[in-house]
Amino acid sequence: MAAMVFRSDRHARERQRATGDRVKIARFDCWRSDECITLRGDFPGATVDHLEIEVHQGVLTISSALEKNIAARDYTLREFSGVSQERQFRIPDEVDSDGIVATVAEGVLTVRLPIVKSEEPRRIKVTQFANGDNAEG
Amino acid sequence: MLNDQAFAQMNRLRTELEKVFGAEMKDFCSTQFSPRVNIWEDDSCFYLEAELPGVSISDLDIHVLEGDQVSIKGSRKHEKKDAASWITRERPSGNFARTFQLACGVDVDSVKARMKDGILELTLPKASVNQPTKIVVETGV
Repeated sequence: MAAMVFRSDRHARERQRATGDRVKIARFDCWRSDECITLRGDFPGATVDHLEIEVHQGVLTISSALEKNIAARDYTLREFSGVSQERQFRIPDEVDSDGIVATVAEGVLTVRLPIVKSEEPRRIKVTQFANGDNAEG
Repeated sequence: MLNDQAFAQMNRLRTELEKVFGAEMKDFCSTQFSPRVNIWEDDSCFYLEAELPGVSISDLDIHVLEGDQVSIKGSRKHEKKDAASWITRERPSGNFARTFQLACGVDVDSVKARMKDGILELTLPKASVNQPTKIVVETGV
């Protein structure tokens, strides 16, 4: 049973260098059942328009980009801003990539990766022919 | 037993320490959920927004203390799974409580609160005595 592999944050750092914007590594919970692997991450303030999920060559990339253009405010305390987030995962072979489903509610993104049940081994019966006979009879 | 006034003073101290050390210090305690907060103001109101993804309104408790402090308490529950089911747990959970000192008193009866996409938004109108009053200059004859 292959587990979800959490890739390094190299892609997020490259994106940060390319855009000049700060890209935060998104934190996720991950658990599995017999039917699927579930990822759940915090994206406060994000709606479907802010989130992008891509599957490519066995890698799942989840990223968000919030609006940066906020009217000038006289802050007395500022602990967060509209910073982008990103995370990548290596998808195990047992996952059906075409069946991946993602939902967002109350600032929490949930991604479900269905597990394809592996086929049971199929036994091939060997038939013994008499000497001089062939399969075409 | 400490009274409410002592707790209010302790919360003021905590808020000032958080300003000095910054919100990033919270990430060192990744298992304990502590929402990050922005506060700003204009002539008429204070505005507060807090990151509370996955927190239910029923698990949230908001109070105005002594007319000039805002208290946000609550809890974020974690999914209960068998130990064998977890692959990793990175998101913090648990109880949280934060109190913020405002620069002046607010009109408690007019405070509005809204939860949108995991962000709590508070609008706290300043008490009328604290709002700037325009003085009209009359021309002398």
